[in-house]
Formats: sequence, structure tokens, C-alpha cells
Amino acid sequence: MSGRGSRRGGAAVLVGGALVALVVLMALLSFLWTPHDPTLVDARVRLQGPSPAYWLGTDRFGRDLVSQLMVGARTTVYVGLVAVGIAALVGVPLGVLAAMAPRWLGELLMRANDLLLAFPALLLAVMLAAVLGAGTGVAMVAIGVSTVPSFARVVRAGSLQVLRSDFVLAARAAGRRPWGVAVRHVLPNVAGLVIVQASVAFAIAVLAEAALSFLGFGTPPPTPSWGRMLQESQSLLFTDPRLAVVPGVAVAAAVLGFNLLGDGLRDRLDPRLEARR
Amino acid sequence: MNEPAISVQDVVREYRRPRTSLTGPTPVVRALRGVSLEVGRGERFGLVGESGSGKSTLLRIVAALDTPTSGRVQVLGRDVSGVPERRLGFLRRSLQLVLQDPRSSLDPRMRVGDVVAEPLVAQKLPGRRERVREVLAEVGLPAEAAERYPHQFSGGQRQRISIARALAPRPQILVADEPVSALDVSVRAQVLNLLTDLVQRHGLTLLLVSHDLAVVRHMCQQVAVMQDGQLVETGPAEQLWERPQHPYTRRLVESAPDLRRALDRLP
Ligand SMILES: Nc1ncnc2c1ncn2[C@@H]1O[C@H](COP(=O)(O)OP(=O)(O)O)[C@@H](O)[C@H]1O
Ligand SMILES: [Mg+2]
Repeated sequence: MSGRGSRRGGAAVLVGGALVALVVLMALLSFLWTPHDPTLVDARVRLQGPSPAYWLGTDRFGRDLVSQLMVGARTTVYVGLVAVGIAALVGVPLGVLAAMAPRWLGELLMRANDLLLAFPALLLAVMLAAVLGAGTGVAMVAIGVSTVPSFARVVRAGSLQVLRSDFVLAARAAGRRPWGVAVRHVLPNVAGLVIVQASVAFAIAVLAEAALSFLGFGTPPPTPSWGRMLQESQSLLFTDPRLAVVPGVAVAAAVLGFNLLGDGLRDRLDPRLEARR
Repeated sequence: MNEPAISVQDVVREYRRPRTSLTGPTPVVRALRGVSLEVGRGERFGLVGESGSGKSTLLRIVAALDTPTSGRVQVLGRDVSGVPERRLGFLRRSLQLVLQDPRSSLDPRMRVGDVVAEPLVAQKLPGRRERVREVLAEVGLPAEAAERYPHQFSGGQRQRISIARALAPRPQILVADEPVSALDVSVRAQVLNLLTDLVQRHGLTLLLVSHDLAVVRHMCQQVAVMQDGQLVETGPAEQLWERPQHPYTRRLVESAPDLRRALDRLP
């Protein structure tokens, strides 16, 4: 059974993991080295096509696309990490609490949660940005906060299943109190679900950050960001589609990577959860 | 000092099912309909009955993992039903549980050593490592088993782990819910013999649930027969086996696999 379990989702995990690794490596490498200064404006090399000096060419200010892409990956990973971190840090305890609380309280928490879940992340971000001003921080918080409910929901469902298990009954008979049950049994057993949810949330965060920056509510210039690269490509979309395709492919690859990783991990982990009931 | 190990008085347990229509009443399942029994100290008591008769429900209530709708349960002369967990320390120390299916009663994310140590950790009892090694040896598992995970063991071995966990805090009372019915037929006898040995060696009080009257007759002095949430017959094992009074008991006896009885029936 474990042999089959580890095969399932193997390809998805591999491809997704590779794409994610590529984005992360790009971001890390950008701290040490980029082909050019990503913010260096040079009118002499405006809108150049790919060449040995500029692998993916330059934009209308003469800035190197590869360098922007690499530093932009930094923004993507950074926003994703913080947003998913906020979501997990709030959503996981909330989900466990809602599962362990008396029934009425758990239901109440989940109804409130559903209300939040129905609220679009982008709208929240735009509202926050309107109040606090645009910026990477606002984008991270907005994306993080709006992702909390999905974590809480998944974790509550998983926790309820764990709490119904015989091993929790045995733990209570052994003298474990609710806190001990939560820490020693519920959390370790929903960790897999949390990892899956985190990679899916990461994909959503990448997309949301790009969208926010595209709309002008995210990362402000001159910090490179994939969303802003897309936005700046707009006016030249028909004359030089390369400017849109490069960051577009990057966003798509990152989103696909995190989604594949999440789905693959879910396929791997689910049979075990099922078998445990 | 003469009060029984376990005393169950007129216990009723009703489960509410979610209502099926908006206006209709919430359907109620009566899992226990007024059960009374007493298990003396050091006694081995068997509870038999078919699936769904309420055996597990009764065990959960005796272990204060569930609360009866009405009735009273005392363990070692002290009330356990409706008592807050923080005042059940004596129960957690003195009564331990072995559940039916060791695939679900051992946390797959915990090392065996941590599983067995769980009652010791939860009750802050000293000398964990020593004790874990001791009880693992008692159930016939090597000390290295502590480092591994439950899924690395066979069903029979996992039930030994479950028994080791129950023994770890040196309980006086062992409650076992069909401890071998989820196991391969080939290892059932081994695990039952182990259980019998341990109960005798440590002078434990045993409350054993089984749907197999032959097993209970082998291991227990007193037997109660349960049907539909009620005890239909209670008595010494041999008497129940030789002269069953209730028709349901008679059916159980007749369907029990027993070599001598099978031979008797031959012409
Ligand atoms: N948590 C529960 N909710 C609703 N009904 C339950 C629950 N647990 C047990 N029951 C019902 O109570 C009855 C007795 O169940 P149980 O004690 O598990 O029987 P046994 O252990 O003898 O097979 C069954 O009809 C079962 O469906
Ligand atoms: Mg049962």
C-alpha cells in the first residue's frame, strides 16, 4: 500500500517541485549576481531583442529583462512566503480550535470564516491599499489575511477527522488533556494537509501579487516585480509582445509549479488519511 | 476496600441523530437501555453480544470517555461519569484501555516509544525510558521497536504495542474491546494468551469485550450477555456455557466454535 501511495502524484510533485525550485533559485541567485543592474536605464539599448548580452532583450527603458525577472522572483517568493506565513499562522490554530471547541462555537467560527472566504482577496487588497497606500507590505498582508479562511477550513475538516480517530480516544484514556491532544496528535496529523494548502495558497499569492502590482496597488517602482513588468508591457503589447510574454510565462510557471506541487502532495498524502478512519 | 473495581448502575446512553426533516423529531438511538453490572477486584469479566449491541459504548462510558444520558458509573468506589477531566487522575492511572483495531488506535505519526510512553508523559510519571523498555519486553517486542513507527509492524505486533501502552502506567484495571477481532486468525491465540498471562501476572481486573463466547469462556470468570443495549443474562462463565437460560445466550453458545461440542453433535 505504501509503495502505491508514494508513486501516486510522483510526476506532479517532480515537475511542480522543479518549477518551484527554479523560481526560488532565481530569487536566491539574484542576491549574488544578475547579468545587469535590473534598474539601470540605458536609452541606447531600448527594446532590444534577445542577444548574447541581453538573453531575453531589454524593455523600453533599456533595462535587462533577465535581471528584472530574477529580482522580480525575489518579490514573488517574499510576498508568497509572508502571505502564506500569515495565513498559516492564523488559519491553522483557528481551524484546530474550531474543531476542538464546543459544537456551537465551532459552527459560529466557521460561519464567520465562510463570510471572510467569500470576500475576494483582490478587493481586500485594493481597499487596504486605498487606506494605507500601495506597497509590497500591504499586498502581503492583504493576500495573507484573505487566505486565512481557506487554511482554517481545511485544517478544521482534517482535525475533526483526527479527533474522531481511535488513537485520540486512546490518548484521552492515557490521560492527555485537550491541549496535549492538539499538539501531539492533531497538529502532526494535519501537517500534510497544511503543506498541501500552503503550496496552493502560494500559487494564489503569486497570482494576486502580480495582479496587484499590475493594477498599481502592489510593489512600487523601481523594485522589479513580475506584475509590474506585465503592466509596463501593456502599451507595447502589439509592437513587442515579448515584454508581456516573458513575465507572463514566469507567473504562469510559478503558479503551475505550486499548484502541481500541491496537487501531487495531496495525492500522496490523502490515501493515508483515508486509511486511518 | 471491598467496593467493586467497576460498578455500573442503570446506565442509559442515547445518541441523537441529525433530524431527517425540518419538522420531525430528532431520531434517537438508544445504545444502552439501563445496564447494570459489577466487576469485582481482580475479577476477569467478559461482555459478549453481537455487533451494534452497545458493548463499545459501555466501555467508553466506563473509561469516562463518554457520558451516559443517565445512570451512574463508579470505578474503585469513585464516581467517574460527569466528573471533570482534571479530577479523573485516579481513573487514568488505574484503568487502561486496549481498543479493537491497532491500525487506528496507534497514531501513525508517533514513534512506538512515544506511543507506549504516552500515559507516562500525560500523567507525568517518572522513569519513562526504563518503563517503556520493560513493557515492550513484557509484550515480546525488542527495545529497538521504540524507534520505529506503527506501520512498520504487523497487526499482531501492533496490538502488542497497544497492550504495552496500556500496561505502562501500571494500571489495576484493563479494559479490552474485542482485542483480537481485527487481527489475522493465525495470531489471535497468541495475543489472547499474552493478555491472559499479563492479567494473571499482574493480578489485573479485566473487562473483556468479545463477540466470541468461546474466547470469553476461556479467559473470564464472569460473563454478561448483551443484546440491543440490555444485559439479558449474567453469571459465571461455565454456568452460562453449560446451562444458558436466555434464548439469545443459547444461540451464542450453539454458534460458538468448539471442538468438543462439534464432536458431541456427531452421531
Ligand atoms: N457516536 C455515535 N453516534 C451515534 N450512534 C452511535 C455512536 N456510537 C455508537 N452508536 C450506535 O450505538 C449502537 C451501539 O454501538 P456500539 O457500542 O459500537 O456497539 P458494539 O460495540 O456492541 O458493536 C449502534 O447502534 C451504533 O450505531
Ligand atoms: Mg464495538
